[in-house]
Amino acid sequence: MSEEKKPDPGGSQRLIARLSYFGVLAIALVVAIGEAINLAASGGAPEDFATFVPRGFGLTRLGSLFAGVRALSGKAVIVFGLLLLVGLQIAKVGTSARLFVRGKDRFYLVASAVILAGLIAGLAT
Amino acid sequence: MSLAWFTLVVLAVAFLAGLLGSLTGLGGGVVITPALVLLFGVNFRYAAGASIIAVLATSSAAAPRFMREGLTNLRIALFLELGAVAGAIGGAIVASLIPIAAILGIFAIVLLYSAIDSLKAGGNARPSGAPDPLAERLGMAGSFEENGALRSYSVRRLGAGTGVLVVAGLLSGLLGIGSGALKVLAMDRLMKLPYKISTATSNFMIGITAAAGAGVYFDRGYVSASLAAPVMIGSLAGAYVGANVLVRAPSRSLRIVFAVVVALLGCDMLYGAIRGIA
Repeated sequence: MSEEKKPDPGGSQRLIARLSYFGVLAIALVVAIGEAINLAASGGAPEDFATFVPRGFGLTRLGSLFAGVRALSGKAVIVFGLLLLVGLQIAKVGTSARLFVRGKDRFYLVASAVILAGLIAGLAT
Repeated sequence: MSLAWFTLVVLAVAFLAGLLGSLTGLGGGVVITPALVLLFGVNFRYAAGASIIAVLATSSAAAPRFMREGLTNLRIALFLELGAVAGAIGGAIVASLIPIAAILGIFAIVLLYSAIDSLKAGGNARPSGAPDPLAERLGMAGSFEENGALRSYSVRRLGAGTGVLVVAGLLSGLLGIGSGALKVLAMDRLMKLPYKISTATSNFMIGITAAAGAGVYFDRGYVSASLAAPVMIGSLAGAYVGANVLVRAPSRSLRIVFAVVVALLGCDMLYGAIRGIA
């Protein structure tokens, strides 16, 4: 252990930190607005979570999701926010890849690309 | 219970999940799934959907603080994530060939043993032995500030750690659970990384793993908007607080929290295994 200055986490790490910070704030705001609309629309009636009814917005039905967001449907706004949260993880890996492009670090660039491809494939299936 | 009251209670539970998730590097799902199923009678599929949202929220909210402090090691995270992805693909392929109850039982015993082993490890003793040559070549060594001084660290047994991550990915592919615990254990116990580095790096990785599986949960309708919204907001707030606590807390205390949560997770899995066999 040495008594040196505080380690610099690096420009790209700071960029990922900022991206996560502001991304999370924006997404929380979107979901909170959606939840407020959802609660107001429910009129306080309880919702049944004990019985599973498959009615997901599904990535294959993005058109209906955006239509719901435009119509200010609380549930659609929430799901939109949640999808942004998934997108934030992709952005984190993409920004990491940028660090390795700058550093001409081919091994980690390939690793980032493989993970990014896995993420996109996982979302597409 | 009205939806508004239910939302408030779930917010509080999710706060606790986010707090523990970011402190331990396990994500919030460890708390969310059993709480929703056992306390509120929520259907397991909706609970699983809420759990993946809790993990995504915990990972995202804790990341800024951990990254600013230099606790997240991106190189280690990306290297190990490759192993986890390979394992997850393997798990999906062999899912129908493997007896799930037996896997749960073995995993439960590993977790219970690890919880005891983690407690024995104490604080942040410096590991003996030479750093792993491949890890050195790949530039995985790093440093971070602890108690006002700079502490350097290097990676031991990268091959063994990656092997555990392949198993973690395999388990994720088979069961959809448990990869956070194995990630922390691999980095902490095998690769001999400082506990805070293991936790923060796992926090980064679990978000990526959860995102890879999220599409399936959305597409099958497991993510209920009314349930996921308070889970997400509560987990975000809890993880934000947890990340700030972790930076200041002594490693010994964090290990105790980790060991207790992992032991409970192990007991839960053992119960699931016994129920599956019976």
